[in-house]
Amino acid sequence: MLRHSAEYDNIVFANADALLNLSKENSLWYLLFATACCGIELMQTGASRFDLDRFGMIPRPTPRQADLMIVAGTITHKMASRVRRLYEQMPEPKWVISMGSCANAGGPFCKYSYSVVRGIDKYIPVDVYIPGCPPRPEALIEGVFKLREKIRREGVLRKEPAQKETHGV
Amino acid sequence: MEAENKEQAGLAQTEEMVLSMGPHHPSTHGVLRLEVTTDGEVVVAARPDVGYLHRAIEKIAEYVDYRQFMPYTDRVDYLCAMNSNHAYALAVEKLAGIKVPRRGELLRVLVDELNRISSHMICLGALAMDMGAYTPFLHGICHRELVNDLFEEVCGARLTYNYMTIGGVAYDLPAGFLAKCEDFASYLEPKMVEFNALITGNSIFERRLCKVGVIGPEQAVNWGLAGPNLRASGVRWDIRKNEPYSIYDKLQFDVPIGDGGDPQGSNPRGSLGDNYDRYWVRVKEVHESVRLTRQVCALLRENDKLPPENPDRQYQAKVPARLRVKRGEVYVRCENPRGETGYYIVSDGTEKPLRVKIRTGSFTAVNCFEEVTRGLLIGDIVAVIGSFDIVLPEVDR
Amino acid sequence: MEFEALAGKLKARWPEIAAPAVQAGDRFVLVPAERTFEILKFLKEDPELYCDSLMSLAAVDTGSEFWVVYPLHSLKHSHRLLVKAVLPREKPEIESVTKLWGMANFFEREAYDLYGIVFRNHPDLRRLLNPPDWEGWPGRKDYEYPKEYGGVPLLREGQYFSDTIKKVNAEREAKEKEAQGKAAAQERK
Repeated sequence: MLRHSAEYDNIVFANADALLNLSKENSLWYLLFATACCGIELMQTGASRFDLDRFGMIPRPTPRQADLMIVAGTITHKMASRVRRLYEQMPEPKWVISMGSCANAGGPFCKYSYSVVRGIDKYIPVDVYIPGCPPRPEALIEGVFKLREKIRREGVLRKEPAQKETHGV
Repeated sequence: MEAENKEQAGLAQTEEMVLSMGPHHPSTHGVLRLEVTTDGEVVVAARPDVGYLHRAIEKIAEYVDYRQFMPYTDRVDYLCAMNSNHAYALAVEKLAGIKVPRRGELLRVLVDELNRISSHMICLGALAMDMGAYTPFLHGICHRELVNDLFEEVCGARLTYNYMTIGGVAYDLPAGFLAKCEDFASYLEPKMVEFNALITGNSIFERRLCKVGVIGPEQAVNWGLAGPNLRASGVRWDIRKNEPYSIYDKLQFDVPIGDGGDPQGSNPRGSLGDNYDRYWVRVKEVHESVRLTRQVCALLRENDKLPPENPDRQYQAKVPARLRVKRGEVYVRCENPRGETGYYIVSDGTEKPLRVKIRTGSFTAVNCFEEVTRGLLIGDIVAVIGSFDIVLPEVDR
Repeated sequence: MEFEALAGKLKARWPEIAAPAVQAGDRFVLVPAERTFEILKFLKEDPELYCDSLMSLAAVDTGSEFWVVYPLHSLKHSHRLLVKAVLPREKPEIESVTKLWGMANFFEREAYDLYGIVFRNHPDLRRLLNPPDWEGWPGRKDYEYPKEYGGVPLLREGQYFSDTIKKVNAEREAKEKEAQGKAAAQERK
């Protein structure tokens, strides 16, 4: 695993990184993981009007073939350990988008419910948060674009530590 | 087969295997887990394990006002949120003695029927997708997007509307809306013919659905099935006709029931109460909903001609700012695209309910799963789930 | 059949059944908890009543007692009846009706999961909606919300449950007053 060091900050590695990032961001295959109402908006975003396929994103039912997990819907304590397991089954490099208020911080159930996890970032590290209940398909596509900007800033050959910390409190 | 017979016949010994069609599965419509015990490909027992989406909505009802609970009823069944809103509003209005004015009733029925169409579009499309045909799903979503556009004009949201209030609806129709509704109704009918040409009658589709998951009429009533699932088993029961609420007693529509095995019917190669019956009942219901939409649009045009001071022109009854409901309890049910939604509300005289119990059609459908799938193949489980039209938030609330 | 006729027929056989008057909403029939199964069996099988459809099964916690409510409906005669059984809070037990209506299975499991009501002779009584190792009966009025589950705290920083919000606000105000008092004392010095 290459650590970041000055000798890799040259024109060869930077351009190689740009090329690899281009290929990664333009073919994000997302895991078909939908729990509740946001799942319907995710399906409608993947359908013909707000097509996600034109950005290179196709749904994969199995985590072994997916790079992006869009957590759409309310996550309860019973389901959370399975979400963690699905995340661990995805191969690197992988990203997570938290879609909707329920996955961000508990949603409309955050005040009085006893079984809802207040934000999926207690269990898995999240890259992009998309607010909304449910977010419009245009909002989801904007979130995907933000993720692509984030991927462009990554350095593949000048690698960072692979295990990201969860930062939910 | 006993072990000695097998060994004598020279066959290998087999054991039963327990699979977990886990909470994350592309064909279970949501987070449903089935513990499937199989003997080869034949299912011995498929026990459902639910609760992966239990959000304690009924407990939340005890902390919030009657009016504040309305958005939560959207989330109980998000595919037909208007019908859920309607059932809750009816229950509270019966308990509080509030009468909804005529325009409010008309608007409620209009959005109910449009939502029924859009919910069936997803159900039929998803069933076809589970059987391996991807195109009908995209067609269904395409029609559903038009209904979403209509709803966005009316109340601003695409999925969880929160449009109905205690005593009426929240907003009046924008200008030009009725013309768009009628356009949609005339757009949809030839598209349904196209949809039928695409998938209904396809021999693979028929062979996967006919004679699978047969439920007889007495069994269906005993197991508490409701809505299209009950009607597909031959029981002529529709809450809109038999216990009419709102203005349904003044509208004309038919109630399609299953007719499997009838050579003149729509399901000649199947039996009464199988998956294909449940599919066909929903296709016919879309036609009935289009008919109802046209009738309600005509009634709304008549209502538009009344002067604004006329009480029939109001869409919201006068409800006090702090709604206190008398002590009592009530059980009210409405016809949902997925079955029936029954609200049992107990009130103790304050502004917050003492108990709200929501009875949904998918709950009883998942209940009878174990009995229905005994002896079927693993691929048939997927067909049964799809034809029951289960949405998990209804089961778990 | 109207409610009075239904209630009258039941009272003729079991005199201890009551049909109290109500201020608003539906009228109901109050049955003793030990006789629930036989009364419901009679309601289901008698040809005049023939309540073949159990619409729902609700458990209610009124704070002092538990109710189990059976709204019944007859498809043949199109009449409805609400049957209610009252259970004591210390030991809520009642006979299961899964033998009469198969749909009661999941409803009774849910009532057990949320309220702790034990249904005798239920084929498979265990938790339905909550994880199997959940502690407590969440539906009850005196349920204390857990602080964490599986090592993960329930709330985010800055979030409160409604019952504690008054206490937290009072504590915060007390702290602010103390800080103000100290600042004023500092200034005087």
